[in-house]
Amino acid sequence: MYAIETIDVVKYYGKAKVLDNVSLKVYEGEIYGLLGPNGAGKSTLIEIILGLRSMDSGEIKIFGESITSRKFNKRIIGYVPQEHLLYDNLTGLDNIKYFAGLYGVKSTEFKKRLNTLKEFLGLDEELLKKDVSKMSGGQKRRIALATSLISNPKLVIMDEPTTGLDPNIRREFWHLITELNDKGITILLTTHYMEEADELCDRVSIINKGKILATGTPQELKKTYGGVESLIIKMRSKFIETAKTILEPYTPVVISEDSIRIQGLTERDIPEVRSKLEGAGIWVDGFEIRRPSLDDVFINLTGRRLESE
Amino acid sequence: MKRIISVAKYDLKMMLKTKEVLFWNIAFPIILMLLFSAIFGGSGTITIDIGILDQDHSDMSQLIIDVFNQTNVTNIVILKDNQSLYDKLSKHELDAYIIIPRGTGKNITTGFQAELKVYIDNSDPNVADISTGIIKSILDGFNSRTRSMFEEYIKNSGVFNQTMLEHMRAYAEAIKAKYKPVKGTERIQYKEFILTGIIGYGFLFSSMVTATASIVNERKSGTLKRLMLTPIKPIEILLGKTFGALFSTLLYTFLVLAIGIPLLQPKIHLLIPDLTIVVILGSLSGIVIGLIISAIFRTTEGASGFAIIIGIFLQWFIGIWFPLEMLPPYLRQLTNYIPMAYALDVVRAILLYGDTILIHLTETLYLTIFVVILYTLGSIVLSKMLKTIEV
Repeated sequence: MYAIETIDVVKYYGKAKVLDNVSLKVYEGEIYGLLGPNGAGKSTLIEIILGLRSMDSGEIKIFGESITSRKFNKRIIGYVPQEHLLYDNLTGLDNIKYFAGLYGVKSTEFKKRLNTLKEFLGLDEELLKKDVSKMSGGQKRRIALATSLISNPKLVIMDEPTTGLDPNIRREFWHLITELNDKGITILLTTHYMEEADELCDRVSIINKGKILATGTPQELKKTYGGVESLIIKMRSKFIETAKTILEPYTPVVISEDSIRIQGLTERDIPEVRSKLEGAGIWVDGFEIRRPSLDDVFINLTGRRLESE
Repeated sequence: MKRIISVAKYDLKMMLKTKEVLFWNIAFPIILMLLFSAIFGGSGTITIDIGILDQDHSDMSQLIIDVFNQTNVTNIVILKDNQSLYDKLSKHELDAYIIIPRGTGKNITTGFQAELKVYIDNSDPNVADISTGIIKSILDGFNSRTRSMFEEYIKNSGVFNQTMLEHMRAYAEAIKAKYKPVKGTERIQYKEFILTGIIGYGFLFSSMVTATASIVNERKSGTLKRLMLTPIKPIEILLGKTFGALFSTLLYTFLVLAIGIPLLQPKIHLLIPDLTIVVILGSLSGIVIGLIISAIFRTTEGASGFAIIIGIFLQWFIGIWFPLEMLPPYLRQLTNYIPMAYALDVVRAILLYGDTILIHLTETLYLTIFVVILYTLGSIVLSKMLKTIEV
């Protein structure tokens, strides 16, 4: 059984088709990433899956049950929105208690779950007693996650969960997501960070302009769409133009004021390149082998970079 | 039920933690109450309002009225008949009432003593004492003047000697007054009027505006989206919001009484169960209007702004600051269609006259019907809005 199955979902905003026959299958227990630029349709798709928006056609099933069915149980889904969507003038604990009440969590059960969450998310008493309005971005994100997990969901949907967080906190959050998944929770997340999708996701779908362009594990995508390895040569900027001329047969590309990239060359080609450059009096600062990334996958699929958007 | 309680509890908690809401919904009306009471309820130059019913219609009765009119401590209201005297008496509109009986003029001019009937409103013993004293002194003045005129006449006639004149002076009192205190319910003072009126302020602002704000703020901040992702049903959100606003209005009402009673020392009857029922009905009529406003308007600013404007407008038409009788007839008609005006009327009757809710069954029934019909309508509209919420 799939945790999420969307079949030919179509959504229009006015005349604009924002989701174009989107079909995807999220397996139970995996971390699934929807990777795409802003405006690609990720958030719209998530809001349709959550039942917050209607779709014009198509079908969505969560653990085999259609979301439009009366039998559909919302308790099995936790949602971590892009904005924290908490009550600012309540404390962290009040927010968690409030959502526990809405999910019908009994008070004895609540205490047990809260203790688990405190340990899992590192929520200390001081943080729980703090008003949300006085919390940092990372603290709010942890409280938001706690409000989503208090119902013990089988599936957690995260919309751009680390946007706006500083790199250290982002890495902490990745760790939390992995641990959550280790507990058997299926996770669907949207992101526009390549590194995040690469690091976290078991499988990824590339979405652009409302269409799913490719789906697979990050390795599969990179292998299929990422192209070949590249050799990056670093040198002083004054040598760049000369080096470009010398390396012309390899079709080099200047990627920064002190770096040149040559696609298709591997570690074995380094001595030959070094000897040609040094023969022309160019001192090389270093070589680096760059393997295809999801960024390359995106460029190859769409003809543009993702993270610059 | 647990979900409804959760929404109500945390709505109330959020309200109590928001300083601006506390100020505008609780502190501000209490300040207004104290201010209005100080401005309009204080004692300045004393004047008493006297109603005179002239049954004699003679030159002498007109002279008596003129004498009362000439002083600067009385406001004279000429009463047409017994019915108008009774109406004003029962509403305690005036401080004293004088009846000049038929034959008064003839009695005085033919040497007989005339007797006026004076009714003193005893609602406020201090005012009653002052009224009695003022009327007595005016009548004494009148008698003294008629005596002087009589003396003058006798002296000029040369019939009587000085001893006889002394004796006559002792007896000659043209007008005698029979004073009768009027008992019954006490007359309302402005401080009592405003204390009860400010409870009506809660129907508009703690109920109507709060109900609108609690929905539109959630819509604006996106938390409504989070709510809709939980198993809560739209009707449960509505009921929770309703109870939250209702509790805040009840809290406001009892806070107004708790602060107003010791400070203003009004004479009121605290029939708490009856008062609670009417406040709940008044509050619900405000809440339901607020919820409908939040469903009609597309933008949060539009909904909040409209609710506040309606609140500001309605406060002049439900009898918070002045009696509705003061409104011109065409505006008075308008108040017949405002449920909060009925609720406030019953609140006043309970607190000021000690009426039970059973005495005002018609108004209570009207309020209940209004609340049931509009709440049903509002629930349908709002449930639809919540189900199709697109952010």
